[in-house]
Amino acid sequence: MITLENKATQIDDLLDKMAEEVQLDATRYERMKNSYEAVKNWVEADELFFKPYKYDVYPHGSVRIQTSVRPIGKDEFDLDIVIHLMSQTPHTPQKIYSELNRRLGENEIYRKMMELKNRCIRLNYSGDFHMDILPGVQETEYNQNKIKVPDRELGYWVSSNPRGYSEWFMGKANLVKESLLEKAMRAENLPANRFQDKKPLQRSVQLIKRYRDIYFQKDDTYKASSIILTTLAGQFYQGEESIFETVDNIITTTYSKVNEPYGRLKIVNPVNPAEDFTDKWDSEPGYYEAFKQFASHLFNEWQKLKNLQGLLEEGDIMKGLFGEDIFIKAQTNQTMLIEQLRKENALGVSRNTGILSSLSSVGAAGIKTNTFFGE
Amino acid sequence: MAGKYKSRNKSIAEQVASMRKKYPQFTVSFSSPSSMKVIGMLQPTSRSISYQFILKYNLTDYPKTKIISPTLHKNSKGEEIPHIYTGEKLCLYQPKYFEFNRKDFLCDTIIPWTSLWLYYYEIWHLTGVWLGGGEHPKKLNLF
Repeated sequence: MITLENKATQIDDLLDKMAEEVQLDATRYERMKNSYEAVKNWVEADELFFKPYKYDVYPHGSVRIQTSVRPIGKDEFDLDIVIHLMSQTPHTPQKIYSELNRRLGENEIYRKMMELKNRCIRLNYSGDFHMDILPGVQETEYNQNKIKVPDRELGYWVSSNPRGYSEWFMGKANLVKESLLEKAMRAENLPANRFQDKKPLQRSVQLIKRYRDIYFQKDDTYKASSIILTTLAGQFYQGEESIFETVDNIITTTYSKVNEPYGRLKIVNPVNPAEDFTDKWDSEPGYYEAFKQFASHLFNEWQKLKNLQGLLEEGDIMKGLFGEDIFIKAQTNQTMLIEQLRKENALGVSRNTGILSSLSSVGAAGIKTNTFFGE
Repeated sequence: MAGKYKSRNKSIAEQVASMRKKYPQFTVSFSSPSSMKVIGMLQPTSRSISYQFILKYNLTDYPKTKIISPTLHKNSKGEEIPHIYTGEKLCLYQPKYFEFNRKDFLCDTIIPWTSLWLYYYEIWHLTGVWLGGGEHPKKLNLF
């Protein structure tokens, strides 16, 4: 139970609960897993081409690193998976792509869901999620993460390392041994399982992506991409223990970098420095301008949150940043837990300030049962 | 016997003494030999502002609590503040359940309840819902 006597844990609890409202739910994750296992089985059973090869099938992207965010107004998630041919094959990635296209097309159900994309084939599980299947061939024997993937626009293959990227990101997320919320739970001898699987960096990426969706809701012409936001968050993260400080550090660093007198902020792929995720910012400067304004807005709002006194002003800022609906749900959840304590006569009040706290806190006095009455 | 002490009515002098002991930062005074006044600050959560309240009590009436500053206000939808009597006195308990009676110390009941009330007041502003439970008096239907 996160009670109300500590400022930092109180706000982190709220941020955590907001991220939870937009994240991928466990039941849908199970459905996704079953769906990609089914695709794997279908491809593996292919007598014409795929059967002799060894594969691995795994998710990459936000599902793998647990930073998924439900898009606004839709209840559909992205699932990126790789069909990774383990050993070197004599075939080009283009050949693999066309064979995957053929094989999926042989299935009545998949045929109706298919959409061909530049590097992948998409299956639309309407109203639930869409699965982007990236076929890849392992580049070398010694690096099990690097794969060659087809690029139909280039007419050639490109090097990709989705699993390496995930490992890089998780390495950053695990820079913190125990988060502020985990510590708070431990201090009260409560199981902290819920926070163990979501580190402050993952939560911060979810919140920044959600803020991006709100910010660009009216005009998404120059919307910042998730890969850019996720990468810069990972790059600037220093192992902060709280979600609040993590966002603060990421946005402060970003803000100072985009306001440097020359050059521009560059975000390169950490596992392939030759790949600049922000190369579009040169060819289409509107993206960079929009990104600068987006970063400045979050920076300024976060400064206000740091300096403000009062739940009401704070609530207004958070509603503006992350959306009124998820703020209200998160705040209601937090209050219902306090209400639970009150019902169990485990809520106390600090004698110095009147701040509500758990009864076990030092200097807290118990609260007798009462029933609010009146109009 | 301690139980006996607990179960008898408290005098104003006892109320004043216990309030001063538990909340030494409050201004506690006698208004007359049978009535008292408390002025103090309460902050319901560490992220909340502090509210100044006044509590008046005499042995022949219910304790009356009011927030002096900042001024309490309607929510953004223009809805009236829940659980408040005319004159902006806070409705902290249901009189018919004797949740407060003259055997209770104000410092163990009215003060924590005021903090709770302020918490739910703030949450009501944030969520539009009074999450602290409670009862409303039955309205008489005259038609």
